[in-house]
Amino acid sequence: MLKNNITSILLIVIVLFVVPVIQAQESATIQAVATVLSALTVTGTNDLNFGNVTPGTPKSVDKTDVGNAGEWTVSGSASAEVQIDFTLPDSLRTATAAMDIIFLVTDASFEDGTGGGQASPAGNLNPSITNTENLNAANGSMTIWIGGQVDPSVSQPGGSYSGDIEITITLTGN
Amino acid sequence: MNRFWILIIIYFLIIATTLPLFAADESVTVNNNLTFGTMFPGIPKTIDKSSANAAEFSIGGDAGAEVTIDFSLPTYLSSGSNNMQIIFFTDGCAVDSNSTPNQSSPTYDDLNPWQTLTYDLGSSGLTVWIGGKAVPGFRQPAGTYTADIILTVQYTGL
Repeated sequence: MLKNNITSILLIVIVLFVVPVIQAQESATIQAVATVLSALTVTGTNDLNFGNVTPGTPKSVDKTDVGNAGEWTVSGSASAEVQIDFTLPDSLRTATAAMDIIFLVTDASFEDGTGGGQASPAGNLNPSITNTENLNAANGSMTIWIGGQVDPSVSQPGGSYSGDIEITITLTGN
Repeated sequence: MNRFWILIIIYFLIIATTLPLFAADESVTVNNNLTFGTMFPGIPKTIDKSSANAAEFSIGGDAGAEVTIDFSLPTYLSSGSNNMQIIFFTDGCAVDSNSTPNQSSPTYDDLNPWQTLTYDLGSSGLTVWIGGKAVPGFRQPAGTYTADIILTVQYTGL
């Protein structure tokens, strides 16, 4: 009888002190969500071409000169804000000679779909500073043109002169 | 069958029938996803825990009961086979126990979501916020990237 009572008491103790230790657990799941827009692509589509140049006679190519002005096309997300930076040479070179090249503050332009193309673009760019513009609101495109002037000396050696003109397009995140 | 085994059976019957009474009436509700919105390749974006775009959970249960809160956090958001890194900062979580939760000035701020958090439920439970940072690569393919954030709440019994 005593043994049974002890067993009963032990079981009651177990129920009272063990069961409450069993705990409920709840979980919930949310999502982290981000929409990544299209990456930028920049393609050089036309060289800045001065053609034949006569020693002692400067020659300019205007940014509206189709086929001779330098041209890039940019592709990205619609309306994305971009910074446009040019890295300009101060001379064109052969292996042994150099010829000055000059870029004016109005020597570059862009078309974002709001202008009339190369002949009447949406706006001018100053190739010597950072420019901030928006890509085409409909398709995320932009075309950029640049002209310039070469200044051969009267004793400029003959040859084919060249130099790199680089453009850097950076998304601002706006 | 001796009396001992009868008592054992009674014991388990008691457990089976009374456990729901002991189990706490807790709940976890999702109020808001962690929403980064649109992002540009190469430009990271941070959503602060005080932002309307931060993730928000509500925990309900018995006022005064102590609970542990554990997050299961992803390291990448995915879009098909493409991944994008996501970072959760060690001070990127906040908890409020007031009946009117204040996200901009919560009861407990700058908490580490990588560790177990232990708090008492308020009269209206707890509200939990978590922010994060998504880091797209320069060549991150376009798309909608998602990942699960799991919050698990457990009573400590205190």
